[in-house]
Amino acid sequence: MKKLYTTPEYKANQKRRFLKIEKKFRKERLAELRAKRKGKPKTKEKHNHQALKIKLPVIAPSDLRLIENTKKCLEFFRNLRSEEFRSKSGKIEFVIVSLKEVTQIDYGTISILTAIGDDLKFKGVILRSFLPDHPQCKEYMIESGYLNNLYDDNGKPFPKAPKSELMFFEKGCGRLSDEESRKISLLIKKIVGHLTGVEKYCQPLRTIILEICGNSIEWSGTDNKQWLLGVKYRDDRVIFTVTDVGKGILKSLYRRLTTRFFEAFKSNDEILKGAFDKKYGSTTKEENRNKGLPAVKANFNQGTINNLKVLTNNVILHFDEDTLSKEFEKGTPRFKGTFYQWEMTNDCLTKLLPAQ
Amino acid sequence: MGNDKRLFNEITTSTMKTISVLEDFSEFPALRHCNISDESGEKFYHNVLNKAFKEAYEKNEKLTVNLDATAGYASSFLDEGFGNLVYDFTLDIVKSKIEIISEQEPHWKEMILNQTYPQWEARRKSKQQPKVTANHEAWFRLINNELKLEIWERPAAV
Repeated sequence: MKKLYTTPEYKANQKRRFLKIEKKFRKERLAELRAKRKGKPKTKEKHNHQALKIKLPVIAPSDLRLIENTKKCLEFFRNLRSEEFRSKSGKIEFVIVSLKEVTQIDYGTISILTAIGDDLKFKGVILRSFLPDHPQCKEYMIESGYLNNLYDDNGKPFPKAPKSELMFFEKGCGRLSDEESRKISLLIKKIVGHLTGVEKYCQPLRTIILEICGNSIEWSGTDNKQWLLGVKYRDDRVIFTVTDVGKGILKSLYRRLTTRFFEAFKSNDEILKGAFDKKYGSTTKEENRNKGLPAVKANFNQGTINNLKVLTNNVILHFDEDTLSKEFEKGTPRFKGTFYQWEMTNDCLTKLLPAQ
Repeated sequence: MGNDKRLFNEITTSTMKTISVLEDFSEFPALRHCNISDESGEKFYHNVLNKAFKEAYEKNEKLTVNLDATAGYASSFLDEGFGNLVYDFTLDIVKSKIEIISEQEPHWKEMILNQTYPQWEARRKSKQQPKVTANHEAWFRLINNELKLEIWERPAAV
């Protein structure tokens, strides 16, 4: 008679049992490792799948205009990205955002909120949002397409808004693909069409966008090399924003301790201005590099771009009105990342294009 | 007089090879390295410029590089493309054998001649190797006036 433990059924049962135990063990080990990495003590919560940890919502200030009310906006952005405000329902992590009190908002804020939302989404955290009560603000946010990545207070995605003709975002992460590169060029054609009535390439404008987006891809240090190009059409002008939520220019500069040492007695806004004047070498110490930021400033000086503003770490530079440029005082939240905003008019294009 | 000029033009054009970024590479040149963009300066150098220059050098011809008619450049694309050439063939040889056409944006030619060339020559002299971010086929480098074909650099392991 064949022994029971040599039968195929017995062997199959044993194999199934072994795999089940191994799977359970692997799962527990993985959870332990994750907890260790986050620095959290091992708890028994893993068995409580219904665990619901709701944190307070992040409340936006009523004036959410980045340029006019920078400090309050920075505080709001910091809270959005802080782990302190992250709620958890089962395995879903989310941040509750209340925009109810917002009565004023600008395109810069929309750009940064979109970049933060994308970054959080990449990290597995979603934004649940209460929309502004103010009808115009609400409409502005819907039109911008910002809500396309958001969830309502019940955790359901907002209905997708139709693509706006007046506000537009081009996003990318990782390498700048040929397709993204083409899209940028087509976007430039449209911009030239808006300003002059004739759609055509404008090589110098592509240069400006590539220099800034290239900096974000190469140096921002975001997990996914994310960049966001925003374009807003107005009657006689076009507003551009480029946002990354990485380390920021000053923090990249400080990696070179010598820079910090020699510039110890200078304010951070002076140091940032120096980076646009090619005062410092590249972080890679390659002599031939660091042409991007000086090229952007050269364009501003030639009048081919207007109202250039740069916000990074604890500094805001207003190239158009230097007296407003400043380093924020201690205690003010820093902006982790870099934000550029500039405008172009038909006059700018005539300065850019006559040589062609 | 007119015939002499025509003859001179015919001789010079017959000993001049021309490449164009638009026709031989891409309408949408992008950033410096292959690890951050598809149509990078690094790729342009390894796929197009190195081979074209080597051929011109061997035949004792001039190489003309036409930068016009693309959608526009980032400075880093041109710096990486032409800088590598200086690193591999030395500044004197590159200067004597290459002609750059940039009629739409003349400042690029100025940048290459006045910044990229001397900076990469200094880099070559100090033996600061160019950064390679993708695997490339073997490429030419001039060592003691002799052309050698090798894979001189490999991407750093991440």
